Amino acid sequence: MATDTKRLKSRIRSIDSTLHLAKAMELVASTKIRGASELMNKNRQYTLTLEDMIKGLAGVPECKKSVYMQKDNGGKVCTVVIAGDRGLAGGYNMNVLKLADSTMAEEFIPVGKRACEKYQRDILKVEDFDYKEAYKLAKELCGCFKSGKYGEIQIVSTNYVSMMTQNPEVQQILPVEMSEDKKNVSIIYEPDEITVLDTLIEKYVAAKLLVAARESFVCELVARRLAMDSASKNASEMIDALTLEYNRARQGAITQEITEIIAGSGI
Amino acid sequence: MKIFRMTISTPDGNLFDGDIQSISLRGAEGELAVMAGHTPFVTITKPGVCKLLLEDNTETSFETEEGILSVWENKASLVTYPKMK
Repeated sequence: MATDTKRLKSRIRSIDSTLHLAKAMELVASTKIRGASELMNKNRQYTLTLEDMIKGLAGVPECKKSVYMQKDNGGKVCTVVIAGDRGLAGGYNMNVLKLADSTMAEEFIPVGKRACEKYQRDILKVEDFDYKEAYKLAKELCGCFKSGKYGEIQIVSTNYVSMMTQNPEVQQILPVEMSEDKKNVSIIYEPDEITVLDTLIEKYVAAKLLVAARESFVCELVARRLAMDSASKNASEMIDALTLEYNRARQGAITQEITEIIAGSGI
Repeated sequence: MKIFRMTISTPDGNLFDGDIQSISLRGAEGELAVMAGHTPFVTITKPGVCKLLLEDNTETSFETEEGILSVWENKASLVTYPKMK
């Protein structure tokens, strides 16, 4: 009996430390969510402005000749995969990586430690992914697209809808979708449409990458908070069950001892 | 003086968002200024100082990197990156 109570006690203690860990991780994640979603919202505005401009330009006849709008140039399909830096976030990483596999892309560029490990590339943390990094990557991607190495560039990331819903999704960034928007035809472009488009495209791709990375980061934190919340709930439940068992065992041992003493005293 | 809405947005949020009288900066083909009622146009801007004349006749300026200025009907926006230090 004594060994039983000892075993139960040490189990309770170890689950208790797991509970503490889960609670701490949950707290860290919830604190980070605020800052991260603020950054994400700022970025969304910037990206929307750029998107509007690109849409306007895509409707201009001159731009239809641009390399960035040509479909099927025979290049490879390149996918930028944005996953998390750390595990313990429920199915977050797996969902993104599974979606990335299903795209049948020939080349992958990972962002986020987990994705980098999967594709065996140098580690690029999603948390530290800032505009400079995004611009560098965008420049490289645009260069490869222009030279015909890549025929299509996609981003696989997790889309943040609300605190409760996040969906992994594939977005196509290049070539730029044709737009039939005719109302922008009267706009004057300086120096000319193609030059503006060429300058704009790198910024647009960078903005798209950055916004996807920041959204994914928020999603990672939200997923982690949810996972840790259910983990601490499970741990508490387990502790309750084990404490009950422990008390029962302890009581059993005491009862037995008393019985033995009484039997020994010969009353 | 007529005013129009101006937004300067960067990846890390808006540098400026409000009503102004005019904006002057370096465009692709030289210095330019935009006032209310300008015809819709889009231009590449060069790195430099961008000066805004506010509603109350005060001036404010921002140092910016290369960007793109677009002017729509009484609404203008400049997407750029703040000067890296």
